[in-house]
Amino acid sequence: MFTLNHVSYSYKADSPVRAQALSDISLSIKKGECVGLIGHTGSGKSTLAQILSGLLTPTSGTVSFEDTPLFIKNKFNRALRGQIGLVFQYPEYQLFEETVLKDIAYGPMNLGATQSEAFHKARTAAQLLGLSEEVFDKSPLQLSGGQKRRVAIAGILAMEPQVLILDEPTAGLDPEGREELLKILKNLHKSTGNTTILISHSMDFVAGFTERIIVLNRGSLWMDGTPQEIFSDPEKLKVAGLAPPPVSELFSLFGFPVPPVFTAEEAVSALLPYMHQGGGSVCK
Amino acid sequence: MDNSTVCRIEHVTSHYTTEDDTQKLVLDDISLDIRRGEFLAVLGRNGSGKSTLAKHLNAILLPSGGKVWVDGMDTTDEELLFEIRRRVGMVFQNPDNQLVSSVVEDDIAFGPENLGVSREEIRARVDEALEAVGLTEYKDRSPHMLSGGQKQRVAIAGIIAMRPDVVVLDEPTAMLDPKGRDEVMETMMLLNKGIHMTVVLITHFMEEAIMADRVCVLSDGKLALSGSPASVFSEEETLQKLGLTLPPAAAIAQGLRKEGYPIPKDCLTMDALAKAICPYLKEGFPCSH
Repeated sequence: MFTLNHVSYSYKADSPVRAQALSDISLSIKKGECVGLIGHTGSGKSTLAQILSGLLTPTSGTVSFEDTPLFIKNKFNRALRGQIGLVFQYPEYQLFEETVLKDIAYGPMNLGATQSEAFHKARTAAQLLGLSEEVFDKSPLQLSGGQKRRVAIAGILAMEPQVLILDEPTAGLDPEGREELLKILKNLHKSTGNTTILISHSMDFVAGFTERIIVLNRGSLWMDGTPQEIFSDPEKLKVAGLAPPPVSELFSLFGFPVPPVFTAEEAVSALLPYMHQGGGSVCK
Repeated sequence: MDNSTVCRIEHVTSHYTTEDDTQKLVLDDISLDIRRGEFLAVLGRNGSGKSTLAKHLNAILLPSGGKVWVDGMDTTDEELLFEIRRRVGMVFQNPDNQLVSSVVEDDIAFGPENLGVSREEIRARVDEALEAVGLTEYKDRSPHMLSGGQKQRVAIAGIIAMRPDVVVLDEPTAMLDPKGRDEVMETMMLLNKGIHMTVVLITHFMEEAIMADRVCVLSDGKLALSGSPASVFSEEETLQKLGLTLPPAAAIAQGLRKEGYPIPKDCLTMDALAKAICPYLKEGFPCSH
């Protein structure tokens, strides 16, 4: 789907305060793949997301989308408009329409859909995100935080992009909201088969959702592999300012090899072979 | 109100009027004393009233019913507003929205300058605040060039420099990476244990709440649960109803109990859990813990 060749990006490239955000990134992302993108603050995740969605033109290097160049003469290739959907951080701040459905339909209308087409797409997208009919005519401002976020994601989805890029979709949500969104996004990926790229600081969220994780460190490609491969190397992650999901810390404490565990249940199953019944225990 | 209580929330209700003119209750008869020097974590679903409660602590919001007292001062008394705001400082979720200057130490000086503190005193307070958050070597930098965790520590330093009695932090780590989150948590612990500042932390992260002296859980604007982390996180069923999860270590302990291992419910940290698991490790896995 995406092929990046030696992509670099500098903010204010022509000025003395030039800041290099990405250096020499080469990678490819396959159609239908679900990829997690992690890294410390300032590692270049959001810059990369904006390049992949055509908002920023690389300072050097090339990006192609299904064999078509993503940029032509340093500008986004307009033939690809609507193909790549980017959900920004805190997307609910961008809700503005009078009703939920109108807000979701805004994207497709902009891409030239008729009103009835746009509303049809909006309904479909809303349903995919688990928003019920009752909220369609409400003001987006009346909804809960988790619902608002889903409305914003539906607005992107209604444009029927082939790629969905989500930047920190769970930031600020409560544990239930995180859990719910994870479930919805998993189902969404299953039913649409979209290529999905997920940026997050929440390691358990990324581990629970993706098949492949790309780690950026100071603008460079640091690691690329399955969640199992990535999280079984806590030392290398640590250098990049990251840590494996919290449950795996227990294994490091015992000096056991860190197994690919992301949930408490998985940690328990991985622990049992080391344990025997009997013996006493005190905690504190 | 005796001197050990720094903030008293007394039967506070709070509501706002929605677009269609109905009254929506956000806080429903909450009473809570915040003790001087304690580290209090406030948990609850999105929309449960946590941030609204926090904003009552320094008169950003005033109660619709009931009273809030800060150091014995009624927050509805406009003449005391300045004193109240000086005593209770707030740190919000997004560090970028809270920084005002292009140099770190100027940013920290902004608060005390506004309090009319003398030049020498400001210098001393800024240095002290920089040291408290571990950013002394960054004092001449631009905040915009710092990492998320560092920016948030600058915001905290700006509050400390005003010498408040209480620091209220509303999801200060929501936008940070794991390292930034650790930095901010360490800073909070240092403020609380080191210089005995009262800390009120609103968070969605259970692993942060376990570090507090006391945990309060809000649900639909009511105080649903309050107690030590060990007692609150042992109420597994209630927690689930309140939309909360167990901290990672407690969740593993719960799983092991289901497998027949009597791991106690008060294992909240990975260290404590490791200790509790030790006696059950098979031979050949010596427990160095």
